[in-house]
Amino acid sequence: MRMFKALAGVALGVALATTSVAMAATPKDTLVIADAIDDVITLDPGEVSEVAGVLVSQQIYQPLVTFDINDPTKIIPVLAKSWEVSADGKTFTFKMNRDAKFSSGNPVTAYDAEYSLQRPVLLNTRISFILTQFGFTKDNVKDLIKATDDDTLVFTVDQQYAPSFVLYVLSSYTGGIIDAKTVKAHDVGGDLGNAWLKQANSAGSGPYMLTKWEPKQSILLSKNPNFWQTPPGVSKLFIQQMPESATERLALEKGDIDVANKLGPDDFAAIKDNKDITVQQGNDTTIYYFGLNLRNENLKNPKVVEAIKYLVDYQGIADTIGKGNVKVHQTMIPDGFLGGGINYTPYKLDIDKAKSLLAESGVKLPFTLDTVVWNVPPYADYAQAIQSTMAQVGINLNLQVVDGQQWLDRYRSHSLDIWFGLWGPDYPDPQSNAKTFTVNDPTDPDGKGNLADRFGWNSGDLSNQVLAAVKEQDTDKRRQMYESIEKAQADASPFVYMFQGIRKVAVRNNVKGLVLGFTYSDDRYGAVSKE
Amino acid sequence: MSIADPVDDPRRALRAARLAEIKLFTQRFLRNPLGVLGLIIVALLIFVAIFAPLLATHDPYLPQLTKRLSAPSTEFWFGADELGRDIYSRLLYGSRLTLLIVGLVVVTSAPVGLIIGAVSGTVGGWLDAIFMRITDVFLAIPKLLLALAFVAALGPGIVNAALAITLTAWPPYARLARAEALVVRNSDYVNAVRLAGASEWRIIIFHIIPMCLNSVIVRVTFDMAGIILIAAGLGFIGLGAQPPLPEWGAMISTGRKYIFDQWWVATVPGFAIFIVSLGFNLLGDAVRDLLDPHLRQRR
Amino acid sequence: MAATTNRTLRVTYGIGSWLVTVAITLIGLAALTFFIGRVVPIDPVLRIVGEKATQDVYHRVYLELGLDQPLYVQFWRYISGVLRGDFGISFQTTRPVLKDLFDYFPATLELSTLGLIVGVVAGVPMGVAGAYWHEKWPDHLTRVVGLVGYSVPIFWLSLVGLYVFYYRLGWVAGPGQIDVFYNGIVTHVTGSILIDALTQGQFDVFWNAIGHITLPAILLGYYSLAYISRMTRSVMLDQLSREYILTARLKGASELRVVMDHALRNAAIPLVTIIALSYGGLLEGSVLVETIFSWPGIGNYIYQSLFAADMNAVLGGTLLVGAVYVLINSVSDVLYRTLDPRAREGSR
Repeated sequence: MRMFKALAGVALGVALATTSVAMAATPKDTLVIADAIDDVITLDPGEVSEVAGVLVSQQIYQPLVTFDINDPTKIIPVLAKSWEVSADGKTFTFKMNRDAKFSSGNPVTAYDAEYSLQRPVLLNTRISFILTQFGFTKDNVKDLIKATDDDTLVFTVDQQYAPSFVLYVLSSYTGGIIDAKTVKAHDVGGDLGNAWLKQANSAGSGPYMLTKWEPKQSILLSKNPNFWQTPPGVSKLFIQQMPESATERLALEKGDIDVANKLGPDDFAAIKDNKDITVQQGNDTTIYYFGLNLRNENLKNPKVVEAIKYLVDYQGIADTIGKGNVKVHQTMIPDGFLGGGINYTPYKLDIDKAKSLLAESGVKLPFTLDTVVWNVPPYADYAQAIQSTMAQVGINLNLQVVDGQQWLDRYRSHSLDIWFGLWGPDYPDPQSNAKTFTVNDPTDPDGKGNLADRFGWNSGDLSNQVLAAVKEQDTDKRRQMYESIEKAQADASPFVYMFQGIRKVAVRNNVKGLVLGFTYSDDRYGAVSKE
Repeated sequence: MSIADPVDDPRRALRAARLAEIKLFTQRFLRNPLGVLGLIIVALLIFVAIFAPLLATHDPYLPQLTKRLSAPSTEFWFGADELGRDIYSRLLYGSRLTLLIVGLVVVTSAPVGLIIGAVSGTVGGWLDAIFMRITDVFLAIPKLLLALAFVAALGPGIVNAALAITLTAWPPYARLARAEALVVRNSDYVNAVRLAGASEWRIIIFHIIPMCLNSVIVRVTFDMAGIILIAAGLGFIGLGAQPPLPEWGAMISTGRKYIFDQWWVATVPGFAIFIVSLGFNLLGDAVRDLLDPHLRQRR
Repeated sequence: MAATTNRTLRVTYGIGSWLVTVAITLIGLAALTFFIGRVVPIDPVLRIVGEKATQDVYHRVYLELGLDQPLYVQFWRYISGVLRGDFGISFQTTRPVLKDLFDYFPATLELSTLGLIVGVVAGVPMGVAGAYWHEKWPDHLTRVVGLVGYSVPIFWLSLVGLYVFYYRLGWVAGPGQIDVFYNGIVTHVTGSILIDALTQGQFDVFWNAIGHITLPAILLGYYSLAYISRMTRSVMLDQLSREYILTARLKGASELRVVMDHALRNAAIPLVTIIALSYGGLLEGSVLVETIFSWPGIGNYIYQSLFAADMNAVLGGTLLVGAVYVLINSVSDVLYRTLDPRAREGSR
C-alpha cells in the first residue's frame, strides 16, 4: 500500500509539474473552437447536412447570394453580382462577379455555378431534395441550370415561386459553389469528384480551405491564400471535438480553447462573472416542439390534443432548465423569419383546464403514450418535466431515452405516440417550416417528407394556403398570409410548439469579429482575429 | 404401537443433525466479522427496498424545477437533481431496481447455465463439444461489451438490461456445472440408478443437477456484486432503466454533466452502488469460505 | 523412446487442437457480433442518407450496402472480407475500419499497459505482504483494498477522480490524450503518443501527455490491482505453507531470502498467468474509462460507433478486442500448462 501511495505521489507530482506548462494560451494565429463534430460524415458541399459539417463547409464555400445577418429579408450578392427574374417568375438569370477567385487561383465563372448546382441532383445525394423541389430531375437539370457564357447563369424553375424563396434556397449550404475545373480533374468513375471532396480536399472560394479532418476528433482549416475579399485575421481554424458542456467551459476558462460552441445553460450561468470571457448573442431559428401522432386512438380526439397543450409548463421550463437558451414560442415560424415574430402565445400550464377538456373529450383515463427522446441535453430534461405534469391528469408518458440515431428511426417509422424533437430550417425562408408542419402530400401518406402527414394530420385548407403563400410575389402580402396561417395552425395542429432557441456562444475576450449566423450553423469566421 | 415409529426416528435424527449443522454454520459465519458486515449491508438494502415509501421524504418522481440542483440541506438530505427531485428519496426507490436486476439475472442465468452444463457434461460427445464451444465464444468477449451489444439489439430498458446481463452471465455456471457433472456421472450411485432403468433426463434432473447446486450457489453469491456493477454500467451508458426511474447508474449518468459544480448529483448514487456491491462481495467471500468444499479441505 | 514420440505427438496434437479451438472461437465471435449487429433496431441506411433524404436515395444506399441479400450471404461476405483484412468502411469516419482500428488501438494499448504496470508494481508487493503477514494488518489491508477495487464502479471513480484531482486540486490534466493546441505536433509513428513524442524530441508534448494519462492509468491500475493483489496473495499463501519453505528456514536463510528467493520464484509462473489475465480484463475496463476521459481508444471507438449504428466499426472493434482477449487467455493458459509441471498432471 505504501508503495502504491508512493507511486501515485510520484505520478501526480510529475503531472503537477506539467500542468503549469500547459496553462499557456492558444497560439495567436490559430482560433481553437470546441464543438461536437462527431456527426460529420462528409465535407462535400453537395451532400453535407450535419450541423458541424455545414459550419465547416460555410467557411470554405460561398453561395451566389446571401442575406443580411442584421436584416434577413434583405438579399445581398456574393459570387453573383446581380440577378433578374423573368416576367413569369420562372427564370432567374445571374450575372457573376468577375473579381471572385477560388483557392486554386481559378476565376469563379458561371460554369462553376452550373456544375455545383447540378451536382446534388445528378448525384442524387441526401440533400438533393432542397433543389429538386423546384422540379429538377437527373434528366432535365442540365437544361434547366445552365451557363450561357462565363458571366451568365440561367436557373429555370418549374412554376412560379416567390423570388425570395428561390434566392433563400440558393443562399443555403446546398448553394455552395465549387471549383469545377479542379474537381472535374478528380472525377473517379463519374462520381463528380465526390470521393475527392468528401474528406480530404476542398475547392472553394471562401476565406478558408480544408487542411486536415480527423473524423470524430478535429478539423483543421487554414487561410485561403487566394481569397478575393478581406482575408481573416487568423491563419488557422482548429475545431476540436469536445461535446460536453462542463468540459468545454473548463477548457475555455483555462484558455485551452477560444470559442465554446456547445455550452448548456448551467455553464453559461457559471461563467457569468468571468472577466476573460464574453458571451455573444445571436439568432437561433430552431423550434423545439413535440408532435402528437393522430393515429393513436386517444390522440385523434381534438379535445385531448388541446388539453395536452395546457399540460406543459412553458414558462417554468424556459426559466429553469432552459434558462437563457430558449424562449417560449408557440407557432411554427421562428422570430426573425418573414411572418415570424407575431408573438402568439395562447397556452400556459393549466391543469384544471386540461382536466375539464379531457372530461369533455370522453376518453378513458388514465392512458399511456409511448415516446422516445434524444439522450442529449436538454431534451431529456424537458421531456421529464412534461412527463410529470401530464401524470397529474392521468396521462402516463412511457419515456425512452435513446441515442440520436434510434430517435430519428422511430420518428420516421411513426410508431410512436409522441415525438420530442426540434426543427432547424434548411434555408432561411418561412416555407421551410410551413411546408413540413402543414402541407399534406397525397402521394406520401406516411409522411416520409412532411411532418403533417407523418403525424397523421389532415390540415384541410391550411395546406392549400401554404402552397399559395410560397407563390405570392408580393412580399408584404406573403408575410400576412403566413401570419394568418400560423395562428390557425398552432391551434388546430397536433404540434405543441414550445420554444425557440437563443443562440449564445462563449468566446475569450481577445477574439474579435465573429459573426453569428442565422440558420443553424452558418456562423461566419471570415473576419475573425485575435488580439 | 408402543414401539417408536421406525421411520420417524431416523428422520428426527436427521433433523437434529441438520439443526446442528446449521448452528455450526452460523457460528462459523459469525466468526467472520467482514461477512457479518456484508450480511448487514445486504439486509439493509432489502429493508430499504421494502420500506422505501415510508423512509422517503419526497416523491422520487416529482420535479420541482425551481429547486433544481439544490445542495444537500435539511430539506434535501443528499441534495436535489437536475429536475429538483430529492436524491435521497430517489436513492431509496432505486434500491428496488437494483434488487430487481440482480434477482432477474440470478433466476435466469443460473438455471440456464446449470442445465446446459449438466446436460453437456452428462451426455458428452458432440453435444458437449458444441455446447462448450458456444460457451467459449461467449466467454471470449469482454462481458460489458457483450452486454452492451445485446442491449443495443434488444432496446434499452431495465428488463432488457437484465436479459443482456443474463446472456453474458450463464457461461461460467455452465462450465462449473459441466465439471461437476463429469465427476458425478460415472459415480457408483449414478450408475446404480442408471442400472435401475432411469432415463438420462431423470438422472440429470434428479441426480446430477442437485450435486452441482452447491458450487453454483457459491458462484452466484460471488457474482452478484459483478452483476450490480455491470447493470450500473449499462445504466450509466443509458441502456438500462429509462427515466424517470431512479436507477443508480442512470443517476450518475445525468449527474455527470454537473460533476464540477454540483458534485453531489453524481457522487451520492455512486456511493450507494459501491456500498451495496461491497456488501455482496463481503457476503460472497464469507459464503465461499464456508461452502466451498475445496477451500474447506485446505483449512 | 516410445515415450518421446508419444510426447512429440501429444505436443503437436495439443498445439493443433489449440489452434483449431482458437479459430473456432474467433469465427463464433464474428458470427455472434455480426448477428447482434443485424438485429440492432437502428437503420444503417438512414445514418448515411440522413433524415430528410428522398426514397430513391434511400433505396440506392440500401442496395449499395448489400442489405437486400439474405443474412447468410451478408455474413459470408463479411467473413471473407475480414480474412482478406477488409473490415468494410466505417461510414462515420468514411475510412476503412482497419485503418481506424490501427489509429485507435495504440491509445488503448498505451493506457492499459501503463495501467497494468501500476497494477503489478503495487499489486504484487501487496499480495506478497498479505500472504507473509497472514491474518495480520497487512493482510487485512490488502483484502480491504482489493475488495474496494472489486466493488467500486470504475466509471464513478473516474468521475470523482476528475472532480478531485483535475477540477479541485489541479494536479492532473483533464479529459483527452493531450491539450488541444498540442494536437498535430507529433506525427503518428507507433500511435503511442508518449513514445512518438519522446522519439521525436517533443518533450513539451511528452510531459503534457503524461499529465493526461496519469489519472486514467492509475484508475485502471487500481482496477487490475484488486485482482492481482488478491491472486498473488493466495498463490503466495500456498507457497509459503510448503515444506521447502520450512526447510529453508531451518537452514537459517533470512526471511527476505525465504520470501524473495524461494517462495516468490516458485510463484512466478502462476503470477505471469495472473498478470496476463488481468491484462485482458483491463481491455474491458478501459471501455468505460475511455468514454469518461474522452480517450481516443478502441473502447471509445466501439461505444461511439454503437450509438451511431456504424455496424462495421462496432463489429471490427469487438472482433479485435475479442481476438486479443482470446489470444491473451489462451497464451497464458498454454504458458501455465507448459511451465507448471503440476498443472500438466491430472487436472480435471
